[in-house]
Amino acid sequence: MSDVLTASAAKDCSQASAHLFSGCGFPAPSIGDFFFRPIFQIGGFQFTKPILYMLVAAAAVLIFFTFAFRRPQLVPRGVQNLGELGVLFVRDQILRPQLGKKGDNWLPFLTSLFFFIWIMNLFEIIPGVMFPATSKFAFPLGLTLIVWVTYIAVGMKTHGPLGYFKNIAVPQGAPWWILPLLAPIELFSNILIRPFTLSVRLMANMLAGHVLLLVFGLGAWYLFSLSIGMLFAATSLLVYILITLLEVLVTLLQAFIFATLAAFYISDSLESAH
Amino acid sequence: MLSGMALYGGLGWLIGRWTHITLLLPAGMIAGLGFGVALVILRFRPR
Repeated sequence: MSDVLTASAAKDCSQASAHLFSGCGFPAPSIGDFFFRPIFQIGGFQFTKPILYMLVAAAAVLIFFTFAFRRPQLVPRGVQNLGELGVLFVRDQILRPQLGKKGDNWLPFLTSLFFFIWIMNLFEIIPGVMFPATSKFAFPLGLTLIVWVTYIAVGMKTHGPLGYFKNIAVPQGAPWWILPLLAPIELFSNILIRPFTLSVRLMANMLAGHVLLLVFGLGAWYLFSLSIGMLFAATSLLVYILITLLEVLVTLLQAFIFATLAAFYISDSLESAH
Repeated sequence: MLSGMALYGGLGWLIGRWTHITLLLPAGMIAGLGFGVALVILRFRPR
């Protein structure tokens, strides 16, 4: 009896081994699926897969645009064509609607931001990787801090420190008696809420997408057995495929939203009192 | 709107802790929501 108990206790019920009717419950995804063993460690710094994916994404953006515009031709061909497509997309759909033609200096920054985030997001659906680096809060937070420092610095440089805070705190056309109630909201919004929502929006969307893929992918694997479970496994697999297609859109959309909001916040800082 | 709710809800919560009036948290959130809406109208109304 004790041998049976020991054998049951020792049964492998990991995500890779658990199946329906195998005596194991469904190995639901958990927070542990977002933490990785370090590839290597230097002192307290752990080099993990998400960091590797981030570096690969950065390298991909650098290499692609270097090759695309290494020897630019007036009539673009090959990789330059693709590079121009990407840059013009960012210019016409993200930059110009927010900053206008005079904001074209921001094109390199916004293009890098957009493609860097998009590639990190795309790792969610690339076979062999299947993990979006942006679902780890540190990465959206880091990018948000860059945007936050940028729009505050730009605002202070354009209007001076006091002028910038006056611009953001005082809504134009507001009666003087309501300013003590509204000014704190505007300050709180610009200084704290904007960076918070910018980072959490990206992280939460990618985290949710990854969890959905895990649930239905693990569900299809768990239900896969020579029984009625096969029908449910097939359904789960179908949903997995549909969610993957949805995530193709979500990865692009979240990168687009992040870059658009970055452009909007910069534009808002550059504007005079509103 | 989120800023208004967070700021005035937070203030209401802090004052509520000090005065032991728990109603101040939802009251602050609703007031903040109202101020946030007022701010949106002021900012984006046609001139």
